[in-house]
Amino acid sequence: MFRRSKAIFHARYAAHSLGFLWHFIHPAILIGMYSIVFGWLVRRDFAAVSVPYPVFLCAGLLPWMFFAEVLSRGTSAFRSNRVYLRKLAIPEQVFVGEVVLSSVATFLIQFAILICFGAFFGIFPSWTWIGMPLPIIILGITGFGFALGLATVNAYFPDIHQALIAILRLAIWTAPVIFPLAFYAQSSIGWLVRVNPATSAIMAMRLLYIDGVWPSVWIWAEMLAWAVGAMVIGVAVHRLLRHEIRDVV
Amino acid sequence: MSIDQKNQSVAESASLIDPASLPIVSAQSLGKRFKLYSKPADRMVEWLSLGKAHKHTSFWAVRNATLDLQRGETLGVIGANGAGKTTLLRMLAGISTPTEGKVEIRGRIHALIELRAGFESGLNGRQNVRHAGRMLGYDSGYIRDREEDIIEFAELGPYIDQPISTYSSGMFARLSFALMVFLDPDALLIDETLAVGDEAFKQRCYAFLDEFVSREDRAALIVSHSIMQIRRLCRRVVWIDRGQIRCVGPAEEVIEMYARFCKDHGKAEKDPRHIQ
Repeated sequence: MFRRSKAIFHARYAAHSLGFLWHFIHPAILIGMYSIVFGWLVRRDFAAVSVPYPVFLCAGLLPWMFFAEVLSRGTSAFRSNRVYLRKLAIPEQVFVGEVVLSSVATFLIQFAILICFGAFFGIFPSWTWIGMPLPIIILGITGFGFALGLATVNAYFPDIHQALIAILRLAIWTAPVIFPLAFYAQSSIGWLVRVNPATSAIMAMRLLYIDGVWPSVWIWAEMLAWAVGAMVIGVAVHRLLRHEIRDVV
Repeated sequence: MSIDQKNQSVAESASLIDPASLPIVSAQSLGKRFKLYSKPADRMVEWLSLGKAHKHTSFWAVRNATLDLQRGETLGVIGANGAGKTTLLRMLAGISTPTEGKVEIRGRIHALIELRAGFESGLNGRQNVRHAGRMLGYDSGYIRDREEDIIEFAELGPYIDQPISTYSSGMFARLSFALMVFLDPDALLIDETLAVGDEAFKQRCYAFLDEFVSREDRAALIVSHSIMQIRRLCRRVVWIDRGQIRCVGPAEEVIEMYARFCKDHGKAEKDPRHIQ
């Protein structure tokens, strides 16, 4: 899977002049926009945010964008790779796996830049940083599971991908990305934040990176529960419906 | 119905048989059904009713197909358009999942179904060789060792470093064939793709296939409308008609039966060379 994923990854950017750089241009625009709107224009001070707003934002936005990219690109993975699926005997899961691996690669480079950026604002290495890959790995597994199931259904009904894009645009407001978790505590959409599969991973990343605190057992348990649940659902849906995927994409 | 469709499962189940003597591909009672819906929402209705609603019509593209691809042979598949040849080949190659029956594949199989399969339009010829090789599951070193042979056989010269979007059909045919054969699979399944190349290229392909299957552990399956091609390459032929295997046996016998059938049913191609 890794070899095939690498091949697809290389091929995707071969025809682009800026190639892989697009993975940084898009998030940079988004981070700049949110930082200006919520850190400067709105000028709302969040008691729970102990660091400059752009750093707080990045620490949540990058994991969220990773998760959203896995779901979005993963859901369309079978349809966008129909040329391979209809002509070559390559396992379907490879195409969802490629999305996860390439998204991990992108995230790692983006986060490395964030670490340099954070140093200007006084965020220095802590022993808890060794745990930072774990929430991303678990979130990647969660994304793979959901994306595998969604990609299977999307092979039959392409509307699924369009619906997902709309849901993801709304879902960013139901994850503690732009506002801290405490902001939602008294809100009527607080329950939506609690059931967002990315919430626990975003909380864990902020604790490890910004606060230098190891996340509680409950946060780890929540992350793992989402990963196991997503994999069980994704694999079950794929097994149930996989027989006709190559005929309908 | 068939000359050699018997006793294979009994023989395979015997534990004393050397695995290398078993067919590279064995298909038993293969069937492929396509569900045809008049509109996409009908499938949704079926799903939501948990199968209680019946909104599709079934089309069996292949039914009850049993055959082996033996080591050291080139097996031909003939039949009219829409007979189920490509569907059968896709199932034998492990690309399409059979609705019924089973396929056993013993070795690495390459299926040459479409000229551009596995190629990316944004890459040049050389990059596509590496890309398609990796997509087929080979590591970079293995592909690199064979890269020059592939390029030489494809005869693309300096065009190998040009984007494949500039290639003609013949150039695609040469590159696809070279890639598939020089990666050295155990079996090659080829669907009409040789028809695209010029005569000189076809002759080189024939010579290569002869040499390929002369190694006792290799095999090839050729789907073609060209009886000349089938006669040139294959000693055994399968004739498919409307999804059913009508006959499997020595090439000349099956071709003669097929030719007679086409003549009787007015299905012969306008070009008299088609059936010879």
